[in-house]
Amino acid sequence: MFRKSKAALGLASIMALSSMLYACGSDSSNNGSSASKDEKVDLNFIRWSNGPALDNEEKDKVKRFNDTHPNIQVKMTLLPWDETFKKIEMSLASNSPVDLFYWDVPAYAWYKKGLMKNLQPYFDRDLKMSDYDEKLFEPFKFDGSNMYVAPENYQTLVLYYNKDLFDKAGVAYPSENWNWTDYLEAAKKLTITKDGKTTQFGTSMSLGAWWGWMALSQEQGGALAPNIHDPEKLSFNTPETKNALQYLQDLIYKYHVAPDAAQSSALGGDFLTGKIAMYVGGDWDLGNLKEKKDLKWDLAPMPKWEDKRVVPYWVGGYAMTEKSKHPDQAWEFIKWTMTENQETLAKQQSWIPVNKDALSKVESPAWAPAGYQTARFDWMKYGIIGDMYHLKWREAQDKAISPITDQIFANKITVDDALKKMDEQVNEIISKK
Amino acid sequence: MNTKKKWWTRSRREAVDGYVFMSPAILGLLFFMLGPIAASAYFSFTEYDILSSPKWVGLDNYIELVHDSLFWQSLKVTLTYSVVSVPLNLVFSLLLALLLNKNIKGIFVFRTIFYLPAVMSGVAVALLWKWIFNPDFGLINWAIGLIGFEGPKWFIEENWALPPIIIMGLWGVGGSMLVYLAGLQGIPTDLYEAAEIDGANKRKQFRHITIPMLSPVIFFNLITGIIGALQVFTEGFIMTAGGPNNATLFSVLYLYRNAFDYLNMGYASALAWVLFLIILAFTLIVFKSSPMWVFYEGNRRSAK
Repeated sequence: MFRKSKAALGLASIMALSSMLYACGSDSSNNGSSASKDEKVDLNFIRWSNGPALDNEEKDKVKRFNDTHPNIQVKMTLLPWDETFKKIEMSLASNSPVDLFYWDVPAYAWYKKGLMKNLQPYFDRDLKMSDYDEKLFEPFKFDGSNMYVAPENYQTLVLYYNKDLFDKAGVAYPSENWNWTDYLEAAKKLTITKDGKTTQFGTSMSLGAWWGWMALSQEQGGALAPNIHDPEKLSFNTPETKNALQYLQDLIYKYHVAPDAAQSSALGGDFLTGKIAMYVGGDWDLGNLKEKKDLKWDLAPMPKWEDKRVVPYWVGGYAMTEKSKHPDQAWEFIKWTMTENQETLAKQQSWIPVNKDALSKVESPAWAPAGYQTARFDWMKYGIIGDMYHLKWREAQDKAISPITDQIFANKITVDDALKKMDEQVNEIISKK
Repeated sequence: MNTKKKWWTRSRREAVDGYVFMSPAILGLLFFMLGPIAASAYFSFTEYDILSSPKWVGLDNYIELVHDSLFWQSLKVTLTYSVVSVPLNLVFSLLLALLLNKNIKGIFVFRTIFYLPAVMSGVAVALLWKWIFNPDFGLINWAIGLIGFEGPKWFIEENWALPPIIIMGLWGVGGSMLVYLAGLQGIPTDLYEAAEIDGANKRKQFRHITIPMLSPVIFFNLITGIIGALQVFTEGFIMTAGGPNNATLFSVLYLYRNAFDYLNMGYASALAWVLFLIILAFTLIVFKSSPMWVFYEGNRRSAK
């Protein structure tokens, strides 16, 4: 008993010491919490990197903000996706949290721990909600009524296809009326096999991640749970999800129109190198594609399931930490990205802007092919959020969803057995504690 | 007798000097090692997510470990890796050292070349080997294809995910090779000369002179090899992300995920302590066995 308390005392003193060290390190630059209006303020901002092209747009964004706001200096740190969340977590654990960060699903854990600022008061004060399609913002009302993330852009799924390969095979281009049966039929005609080795695949396994096959399930009316915030139970073992995964598994092992993991790693840049005729993927791939001048490609909307179409969308945006020492200045930046910067965002074309006015000005840019407009913007009529917000979601993905999905696409397990297993394991993980 | 010794003697002053010079290391140990070690011991008995304060849960984390199939999986992967890679590394680096111990012109160039990989960064090397092992156009399968076989699906088939990591581990043998080389150079040549006069051939010389004289070095390389192998992380983290289907989920990778991805720092601390105890156990076993096979000069055992 005595020894334990002594150890605890030693530990406490070490912890106290280290927290003191933390404090010394951080406070030197921004002393005092109540900054007056004229005081110059530095904001720490961490976001994840999206590759050189998009990163340059982000750097430019921050620079333009800093140039027009002499009293606020946003200092952006770009990190790999994985690092981003660790780095912010460490800052939250110490006494000097970052002020701003770019949102992604793992951050929901911080909301659950009360570390994210409720932005609703700022929304009410400064923004005209009629400028936005508020319905699409619903996922960010974590508690049902208050916004915790400020949306800046949308992302969605589109069908990319290589026009040359379609022409060569004499297959009609995808239309907006295509369903997944049409897709499969075309993929069969677009697959070329020489001496038992496939040299060109009709399509790829771009929908192999959970959000991909869930999109196929959602088109049929499937859902993991009735609500996307903190569901108590997730249902994987449903007819809709079964159909979705069976369809994808069959692309590889029944129809041989999509490469398995080994084959696809062999293809290298797959679609970009012209060895994949078409695929359904995120519109964030446009950034790479528009640089690819020697490839003749176009877009179509994601195919329907029989006659139903639901397209997933995702929202990108900024969030503020609860303990930020400069919430007002941080909000200035957020507000600017949602208002003034929206037109620039529209011009850059990398992300879909959230502001209706800016959205309406998204003219077809010079590089954009014919199908661009319909494929990229029509989802707003039938879009469904493609996220899941749960404290244990990442753990569930890592421990159960990804390994079991791997097995499905390696043809090691039937879809039936896989989904039963997934259901069991995921629910065990999310119900713990 | 009556000469009273001065308190401030030369030897005392030297001792103080010694401590002063050691102080950076000692302070570093106290602040940067002992603190975190003590903290992790405490955290292993708590539920701690980094973001809020730890909650005492007693032995819960350790009990949960026993029932965690992924913990056992990670242990299996790590032990398999160690059991194969440690002996392989020992033998391979010894062979290299023997080769590089030859007294030929320009041997320094070869020594440098063979040591070079050991100083290269783990991440870059991991990425490089990922290409070499690419099932379809990697160097290895290309070579296997030349002799008419089809190479395995490295990293993609569950059973073929760990072997390439073990093989690429050989890339870093330069470190232990260097230690062997130093050991080999330290063996007095008169032993060999005497053996030659007695009619011992090269093989016998190797068995009865080189190996026994080298045994302290082998011992050192074995210990550091075991410790290193049980802590392997980068390969699983960079090359395979633990997959496919957890076939390369090393213990430290699983620990790392629990700590930083799943926000279970308490559980991760418990994992760390279990791993530490396992490493300690192996090290002790090797130490205890050392009198049976490690030979130190001037410490000759009498015949059995």
